[in-house]
Amino acid sequence: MISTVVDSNLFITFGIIGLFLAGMIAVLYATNRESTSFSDYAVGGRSYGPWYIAMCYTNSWWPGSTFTAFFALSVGGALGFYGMVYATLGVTAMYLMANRAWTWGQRFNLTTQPDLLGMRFNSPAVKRIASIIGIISVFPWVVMGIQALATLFQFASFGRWGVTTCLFAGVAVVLVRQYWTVSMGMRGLIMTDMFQGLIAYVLCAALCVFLLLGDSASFSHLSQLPSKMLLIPGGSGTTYGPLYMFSLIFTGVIGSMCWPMSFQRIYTASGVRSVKKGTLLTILLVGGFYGILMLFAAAISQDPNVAAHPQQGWFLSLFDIGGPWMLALAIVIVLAASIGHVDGCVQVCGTQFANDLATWSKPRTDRQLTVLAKSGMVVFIAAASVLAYLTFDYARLQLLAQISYQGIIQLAVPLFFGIFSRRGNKQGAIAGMLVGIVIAIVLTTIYPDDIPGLGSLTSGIIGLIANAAVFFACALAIKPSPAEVARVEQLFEMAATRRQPSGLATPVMN
Amino acid sequence: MKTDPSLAPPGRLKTLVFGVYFFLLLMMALFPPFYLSISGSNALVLGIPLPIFYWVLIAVLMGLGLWVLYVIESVTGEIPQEEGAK
Repeated sequence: MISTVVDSNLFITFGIIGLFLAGMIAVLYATNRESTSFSDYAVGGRSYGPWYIAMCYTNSWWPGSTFTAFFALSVGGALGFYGMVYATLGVTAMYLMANRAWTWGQRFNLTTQPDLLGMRFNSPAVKRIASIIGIISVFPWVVMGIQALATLFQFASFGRWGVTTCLFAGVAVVLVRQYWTVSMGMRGLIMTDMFQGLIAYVLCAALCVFLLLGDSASFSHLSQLPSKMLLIPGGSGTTYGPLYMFSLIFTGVIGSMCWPMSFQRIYTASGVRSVKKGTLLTILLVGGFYGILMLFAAAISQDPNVAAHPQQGWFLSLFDIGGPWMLALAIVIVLAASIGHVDGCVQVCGTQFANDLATWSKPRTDRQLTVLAKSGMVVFIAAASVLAYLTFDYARLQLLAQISYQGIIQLAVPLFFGIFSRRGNKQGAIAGMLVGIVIAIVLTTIYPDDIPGLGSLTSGIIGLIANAAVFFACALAIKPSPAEVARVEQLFEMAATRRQPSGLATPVMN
Repeated sequence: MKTDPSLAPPGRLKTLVFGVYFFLLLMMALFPPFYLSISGSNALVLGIPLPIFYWVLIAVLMGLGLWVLYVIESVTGEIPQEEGAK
C-alpha cells in the first residue's frame, strides 16, 4: 500500500474520482429518457451502432481485476498474454453467429441469451436452466467487483481509511451508480459504457504507450526479460502439464459468448451489420487495450516494488513514475473498468430474472416485466453488496469465481450447436447442461486449478466433454417430430445469408 | 468504382478459405506442440520476446482476417444495409 503524509495528495485522488463520477452522472442525465417497452428497457430498442456495441462488450468483458490479477500474470511472465488470444478468438464467435442470433432476436423479440436457447430448442425449461446458470455464475464476479472497489479506495486514501470504511465507500459508489442502471436499463448502461470505456480502455492504452516510450517502463526492457519469464506453462521447467494452456484458452474462447452480458450485446445492435462491424471494433478494443497494458506490465516487471507486489503493480508503478496525479489516473481507470463490468452484470441478471424466470407461471405485460427487472436488479445488487462486506478477504470466494467460469461454459454446447447446427433437442440440451455443470462443480472443488492426472486439463473441460456426449447421444436417440424438423428448418431459412445490393455491389438476381 | 459481385469469391470458396485460416489460428492457440516449441525462447521479434510475440501475433492475425472477411461480405452484399443506427 502507498502511504503519504501530504494531505493535498488526498484531494488529488478523491478530486479526480469525484470528477469522473460527476462526468458519468452528467452523461446519464443528458441521455435519460423513458423506456417505451420492455424491449426498449432491456436491449435499448435494438438501435445501437458498432462503436456502442464494441464499447459495451469491452466493458462487460474486462473487469477491474484486469489491472490486478491479469497485470500480475504479465509481471510474472508470458502467461498473461494468453488473455489477448482468447479475448479476440472468443469475440469472433459473435461475428459468425451474428446473422442467426440477431435475426432470431428481432423476429421473436428475444432479449436475453437464455431466451434464444429456449426458442431454438422450443423449451421453456432450457431457457430457465440456462438463465439460472448464468445468474449464479455472474454473481461472484459482482461481489468481487464491489470488493475491488474497496481496494481502490484504500489506494485513493493512501492507506488512511480502514478496510470497513473503504468497503462502505465501494458499496456506496456501486449503489448510487445502480440507481441509474435500474431506472434507465440498457440505454443508461450503453451511454455510460461509452464514457467509462473511453477512460478505462482508450485513455489507459494511450497512457501505457506513452509510458512505454519513456525510461521507467521503456519498451526496450522487453528485450531484457529473464528467461524464466518466457516459459509457457506446460513446457519444460514448469509445473503444469501440456494441456493447461489449451484448457485456459479453450475455456476463454468458448466462454466468450456464454457470458449472458456479452451475448446480450447482439440484441442491442440495430442490425446484423452493426453486430459484425461492432465485432471488428471490439477486437481492436479488447485485444489492443489488453495487449498494450500487458506489454507495459512486462516492461515494468523488473521494478523491485512491482515484482514484490505484482497484484498492486499497476498502482505502484504509476505512483512511482508520476506521483499522486498519475496514481489518481490509475485509480480512475480501474474504477471506470470496474463500474462498467458490475453495471453490465447487474443489468443482465435483472433482465434475465424478469424475462426468463418470472414468466415461469404466467405471461407478463411489458410494464410488469420492466418492474420485475428493476426489482431483480435491486435485490441482486443488495445481496452482492451484503456478501461483499461479509466475505471481504474470504479466500474461497476466488474458488466460487473459478467454479462460475467452469460452469458458464456448459452453456456452450446448446448455444453453439443450437446456432450453428440444426441437430440437437431439448432433452440433450437440458441433460447435457446439468451433467456438465455438476461435473464442473465437483471437480473444481477437488481440483481448483487443474487436474494433474489428465495433463492439467481443467474441470470445466471435463464437464464440457460429458455435456457434449450427452447432447449428441440424445440427438441420436430421440428422433424429432416432422413438425419440429420443419420448425427448425424454418428458423435457419429465415436467417439464411442472401446477397443483396450494397453501396459497392451491382444488383444481381438470385 | 463499382464491384460486380459475380467476380467475388463464391460462398463455398470463401467459407473454405476463411475456415482454413481461422482453423489454423485456432490450432496455433490451442495445439500444445506449437506454443510449447517456443517456450523459453529468447529470440526477439520487433523487440518483443518470441513467447510473447506469438500470442500477440495470433490476436492480430485474427483481427485482420475478420476485417478482410467483413470487407468481402460487404462488397458481395451479404451483410444487409441498415438505417437509423446510433
